[in-house]
Amino acid sequence: MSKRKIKFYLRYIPLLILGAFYFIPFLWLISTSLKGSDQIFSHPPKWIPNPVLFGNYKESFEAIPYLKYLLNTIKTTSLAVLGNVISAPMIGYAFGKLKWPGRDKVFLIVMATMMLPFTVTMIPLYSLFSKIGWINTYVPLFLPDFLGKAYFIFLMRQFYLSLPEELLEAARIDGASELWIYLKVAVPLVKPAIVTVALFSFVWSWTDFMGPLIYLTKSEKWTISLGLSQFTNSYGVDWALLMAASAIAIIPMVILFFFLQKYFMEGSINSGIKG
Amino acid sequence: MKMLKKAISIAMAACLMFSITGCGSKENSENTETGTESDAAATPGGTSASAENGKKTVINFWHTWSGSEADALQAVIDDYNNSQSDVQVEVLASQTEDKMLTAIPSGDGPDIVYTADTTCSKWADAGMLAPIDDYIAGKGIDVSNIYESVYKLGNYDGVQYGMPYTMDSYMLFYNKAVLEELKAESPKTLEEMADISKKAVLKDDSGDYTRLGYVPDYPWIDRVEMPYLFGAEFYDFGTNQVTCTSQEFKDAISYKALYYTDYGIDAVTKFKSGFGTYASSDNPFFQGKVVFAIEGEWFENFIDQYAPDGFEWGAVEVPVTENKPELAGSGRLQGGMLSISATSKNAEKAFEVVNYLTSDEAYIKFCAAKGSLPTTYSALKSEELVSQAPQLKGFIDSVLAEKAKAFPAVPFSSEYSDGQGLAEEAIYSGDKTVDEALQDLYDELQPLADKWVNGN
Amino acid sequence: MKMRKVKRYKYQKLQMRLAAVFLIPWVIGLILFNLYPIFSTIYYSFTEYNLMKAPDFIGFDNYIEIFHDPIFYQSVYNSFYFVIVGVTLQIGLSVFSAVLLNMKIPGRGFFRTVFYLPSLVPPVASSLIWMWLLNPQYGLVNSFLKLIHLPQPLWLSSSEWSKPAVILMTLWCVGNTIIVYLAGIGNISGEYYEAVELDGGSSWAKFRFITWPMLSDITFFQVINGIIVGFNTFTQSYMVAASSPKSNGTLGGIKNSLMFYAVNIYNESFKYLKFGYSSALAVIMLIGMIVITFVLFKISNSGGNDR
Repeated sequence: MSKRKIKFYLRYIPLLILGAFYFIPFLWLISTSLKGSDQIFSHPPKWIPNPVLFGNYKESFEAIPYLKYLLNTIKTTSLAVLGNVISAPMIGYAFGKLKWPGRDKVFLIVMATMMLPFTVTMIPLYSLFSKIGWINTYVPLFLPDFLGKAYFIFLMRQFYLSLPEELLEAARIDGASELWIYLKVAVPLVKPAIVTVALFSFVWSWTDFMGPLIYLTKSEKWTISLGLSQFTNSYGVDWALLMAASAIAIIPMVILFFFLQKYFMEGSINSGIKG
Repeated sequence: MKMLKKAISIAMAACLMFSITGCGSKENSENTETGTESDAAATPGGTSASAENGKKTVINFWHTWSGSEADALQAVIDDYNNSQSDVQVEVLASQTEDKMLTAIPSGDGPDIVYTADTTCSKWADAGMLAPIDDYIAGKGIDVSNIYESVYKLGNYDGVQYGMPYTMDSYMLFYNKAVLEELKAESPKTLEEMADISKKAVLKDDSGDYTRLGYVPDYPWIDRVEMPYLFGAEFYDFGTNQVTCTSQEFKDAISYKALYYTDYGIDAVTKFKSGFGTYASSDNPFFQGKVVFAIEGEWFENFIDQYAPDGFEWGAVEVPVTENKPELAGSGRLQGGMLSISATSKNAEKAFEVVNYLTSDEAYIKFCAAKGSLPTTYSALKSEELVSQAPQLKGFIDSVLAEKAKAFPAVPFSSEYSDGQGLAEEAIYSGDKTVDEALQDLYDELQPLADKWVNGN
Repeated sequence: MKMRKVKRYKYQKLQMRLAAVFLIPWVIGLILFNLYPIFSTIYYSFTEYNLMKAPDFIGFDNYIEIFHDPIFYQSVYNSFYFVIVGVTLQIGLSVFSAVLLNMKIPGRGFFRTVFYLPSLVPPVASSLIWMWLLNPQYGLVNSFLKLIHLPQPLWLSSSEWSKPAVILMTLWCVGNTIIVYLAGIGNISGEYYEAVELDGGSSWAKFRFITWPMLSDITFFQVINGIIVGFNTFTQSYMVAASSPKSNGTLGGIKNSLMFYAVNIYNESFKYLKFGYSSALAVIMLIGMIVITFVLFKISNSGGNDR
């Protein structure tokens, strides 16, 4: 009995060790963000800030126009989400449910573009957008989303493939138009997948760094990741303010996660299946 | 039928979103050209004056300062904007050079940029900057009134691209209390500084440093400063040779290396990792963690703002090697340039602004507020400046001695600095000897110099 | 019978029409964001180009220069080090975490949340958090190592430890991979495990002979993804450089130990303005990625025959 109990508790040990690895950085982040510099530079490290300086958050809000960056990020992110939510179900449907010659071969191109790194295409795109005058606008950041991101097309296609063909056929026999079938039969059935696409594109767009770094040169247009990175740019690092600023950048994601946990998990699960 | 209607309305809504976002971006790019309300409001620190008159020509001015230094500039810009009704200058503060560099080719970038002297030649080489010779002549600017060696830094291949605006000169700041504790005088030579540094070392129980005398590469200027203090040069324009393998250069790097090797590079690196923010009371010099710091003319303002009460300090001319006392005063001079971007649509009006900024009254106002050295003799020698900013006196005397040197105006300055940094790292960690590392540096840089010379 | 066939044909025509409409954005995207940049990159790679002046054709000079550039070799080494060690550890940690989270014990929902949470942190923020955790003097990690009397490396300030430090940063954010594996494990039928149990196999045997082989499809996908992400590592190096004192921080970190391939491309283009040269770097990367992916597909196909 007791041996069994010990065995039961033993199973928690690796979980706790890994849990500490994943979770302690968050605690340390919060702890540091509330400290004064005398406590930050101390041996051994102190966990509980004394005094607790909530003012660090206020200061980091003031040090850089954080609210503005937050609004900018919400702008780019919502456009990106909108783009993917419109484009991915459409394009995914064309590859997953509509029948046309050469479809699966063309889909290989989609898969290939998924593997094309941004670094490879960065220079000509920068040069092109700079000629068109799209630098310092959000167009380069959200346009790819409206034109369909390979990863989300792939995700949607997987979902459509799992839908039974009979449902669509039944509608066709009833004489429904193809567009009606798409909007009224297919889309409602893949709603969970669309939510997943929305969430993932939210996370990607929110955390994107290299895109804003290259395309947004004026600080009034910066996103939160970019603002955070430039926080360190002057002389040296103010850890308390940086940690407070980081916390501000993370919090929206965490809130979103707690409300929509199920979809995050489902999305990750579906994205792992080989095409 | 109802369904179809709904479908169409959804599609239309999607189209609408497209067009809205499309318009949004178009609107933005127009704004930057004509400078309407939203743009001015979006500019941090910008005045609302532009909102009254949309016909003013907008000149975008990007610079790298932030905080109180940016405020000092904004004050003179505001004066200018109020003084006439033709031009509205919009300032963007705390830009990095990478950002400016990517913005200029896009056409939606700055008209005026403020950059470091080493950047000017590089950008001129790349075609990023507009020549300003004609404007200088047109305005009848007396070039002999401009500090010559800094003015030359704005010159590339015989064409002037930069108007000097700031000039940093350096002094050795020391912690007076610690020197008294060590019964030491302020150092006269670099060797003396090394000796005092040895005595100044403090460690904690676990053997970590808690105080060092001089810490190399802190704050940042040593890479260029040290070679000059040993009489070395970076580049010889006569023979078009990179001169990083000269004996003086080797001596300088060897001297700097001692601050790592004598104390243990790992221990020093660890010590440095604990330094707090430079522009704050956590600055290691104010914390008593370092005894010596080579700092520029702005530093006294910093001491006033951030040092603890009763902090005792002194400043002397940066010492040179004891073997070459004649070098005294020959440290680094760093210039800051105002340049006009090659893609500026209003280059002539932009130069008006530059001309205003370097005219005595505005110049002195700015320099006194920022704690900065002007680059025109008329402003440098004016009593007005010294009376407004007495802390600049020592620095002004030092630059008027005309011994300090600036980094040469070569287009591979970034490569030089990065390469030198890597060479030094290899030396400190014992991967390479001084001779090897500097020879490798030469082998890397000389082809760039050859290409530059032969390419023209 | 004949009637029906005609109708089917009609369906297909309608479907093709809708597909054509639906694919318009994708085709535009393919041209604008994939084909155009690829061909332009190839073209630029044969030129000297700095955005301001028109590209100047110089033949293979950029490629010749690349093969004489020590930084190129260093960046290739750094990226391979990072990808090989990093992806191996990421996969190992993810599988291990997934196996743990699959245990049917109270509180696993809580642990799932905790394990997943870091993958939501923007890379800029996670870099900052870890830079502070790994601070040689005041960092939590070194304080802990000191407590248990282990040597305390200088992490990002040391050329030996900077890559492990960045790998550690990426290990913190493997939440997505964990969940994917968790789902994979959940799909494995319990019957297989019962068979091993009947043979008296240990937990390790269950993992070795059932779990791991059954997850090979997922692993393959994750390895490819890890390689792509790994060769594009940029943010961490950028952040480390951004936090070092003014102008002394090169993007490559101490002794260029963080000069990853993508960092080098950024550095050459946006710092040295050598867009032609960096385009040539990008072309080499593209070829490298194609070769690596191709080889991996071959390996996985031949391995697939064993099952």
